[in-house]
Amino acid sequence: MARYAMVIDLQRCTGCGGCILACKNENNLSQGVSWSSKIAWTEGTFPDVRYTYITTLCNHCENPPCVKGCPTKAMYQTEDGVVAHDPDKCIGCRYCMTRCPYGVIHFNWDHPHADWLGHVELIPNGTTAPVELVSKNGGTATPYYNPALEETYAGVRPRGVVEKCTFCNHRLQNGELPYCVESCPSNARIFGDLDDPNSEVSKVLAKFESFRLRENLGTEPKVFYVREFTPGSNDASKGGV
Amino acid sequence: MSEIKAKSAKSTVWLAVLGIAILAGLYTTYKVVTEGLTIYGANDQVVWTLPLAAYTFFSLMSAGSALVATLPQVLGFQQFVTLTKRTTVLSIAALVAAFICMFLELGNPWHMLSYITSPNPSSSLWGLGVLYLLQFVFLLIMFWRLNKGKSFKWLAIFVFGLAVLSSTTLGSTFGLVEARSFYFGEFMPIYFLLNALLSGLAVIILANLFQKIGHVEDLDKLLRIVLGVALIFFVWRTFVGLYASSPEFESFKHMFGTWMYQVEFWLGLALPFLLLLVPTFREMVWARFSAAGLVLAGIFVRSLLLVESGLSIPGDPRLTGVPGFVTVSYTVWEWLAFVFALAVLFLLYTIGDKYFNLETA
Repeated sequence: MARYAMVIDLQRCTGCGGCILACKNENNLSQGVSWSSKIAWTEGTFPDVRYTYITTLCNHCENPPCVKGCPTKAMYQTEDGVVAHDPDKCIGCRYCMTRCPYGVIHFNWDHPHADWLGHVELIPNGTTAPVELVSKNGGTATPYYNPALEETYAGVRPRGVVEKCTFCNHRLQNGELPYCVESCPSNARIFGDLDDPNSEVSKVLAKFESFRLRENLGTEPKVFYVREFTPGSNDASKGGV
Repeated sequence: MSEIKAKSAKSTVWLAVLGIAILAGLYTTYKVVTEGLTIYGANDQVVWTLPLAAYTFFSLMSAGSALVATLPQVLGFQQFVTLTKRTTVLSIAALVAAFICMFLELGNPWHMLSYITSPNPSSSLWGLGVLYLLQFVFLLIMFWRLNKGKSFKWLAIFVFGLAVLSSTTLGSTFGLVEARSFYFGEFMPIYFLLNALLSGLAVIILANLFQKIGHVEDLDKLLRIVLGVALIFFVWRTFVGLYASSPEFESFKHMFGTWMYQVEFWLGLALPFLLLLVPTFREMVWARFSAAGLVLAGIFVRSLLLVESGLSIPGDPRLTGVPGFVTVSYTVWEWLAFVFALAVLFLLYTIGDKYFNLETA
């Protein structure tokens, strides 16, 4: 069995957010839901300023607090170490969201794709309901839907359950890369088996110093970050004199 | 004759009030089932709502009442024997109220079947469900045996153990959340047990005084002792939280600055402790009644504040689009969910009081 992990090369990452969008399309995410996100901050004062951008996703921890805490095994680890979710078993208690130190689990408060399939008029007796509008324009569903997801996860997760990144488990089963890795225009995401010394992730992690998010909690995340984007330079001097 | 008529009129008004509250609660349930949890003021940061805080409140009350009910058999508090039946009814009623709150917190009760079909014994939340279910079943059996006048000593010991386990396990569901410093630690299970006992003692004192049942020796004394211990715990927890410099402890600073915290401390702990400590006050019925009422109100505020403060810093507040700090506001539906559960508790207790002789042991 593999032990899948992802390395994000922050020197290559341009911060375009393509991974976030690709994830939304691949996994049929509703508006307002993002399985992939980013942490961005600015340090210093202009003109001596630095902008840092780190993309995030489920860390598929070796010791996942969400799996430990889930009362019904709706959160579980696959044999390949992917932290997956079964909406049929999920009771919607949101305990996993509280336990996750990375804030990457989402709850479906409303019906999925309510902006396309909703039956409630935005202004009662004033506007049409989304589903009516779509129907009048000849449409039947959301503008995008990827049926391939159904191989390992619900194509669309219902109201009242949580949902999260699966490392695109449906693609892994077919020998494909997660779609965020596939779609990254600068090849900043590297994916593979940590137990295989010849995998690219193992090689990159051997070559560069890496860090993971909130490592002090002992969750052993399997998303690693290497290098950083530093285009600036500083003049050589003796102690700044 | 006129006294009977007045009593009957009071009873009708009381049942009418409960009926209205329950109808409002049923409408809230309908809204939750049809519209989902969007009717609450929750989002991906404020993941838990007022019904969860209310669940904590009622389940602690149930565990506490079960502890008081079984104290004579387990720890030899013979002076409490006459309370056994009444506290057992209170414990059952509070547990039903807690179940209603959990139902309205989840919004999708059918999924609860997964508790049986796909259990995760390593989850404290799963354990909690099992413990409360066992507590409910064994409380019913205990009440049945009490009514039949049969021996229940071993059953009482078992129910006592269940109440200790359920209240501490509830604390552990918060205490095991390593990702949130506000919740994490062994403090929570111990503090929840203390609050359960406080709650159980306060609710039976209120019931006794409200129904003009004779003074039960040592009940106030025990409440005073437990209140004192809770006060020490509370003050030290706040001090530790405020002293810590890690940003993860910001929740404590937030909590300290809220009016709810001041209510919880001054009105929910300090004032009732004072009322029960000063001999002049504690001899007076109004002081004991006020102290018990304030303790219960304080525990409710504490439950709200506990859930709210732990969620005030999101899982990862650095994520773009996620606020660094979250404030909570409750919708009218959340309050109606609480009123619904409270009305059911009162209704069950009223039925118990009317149809069973709760004065006997």
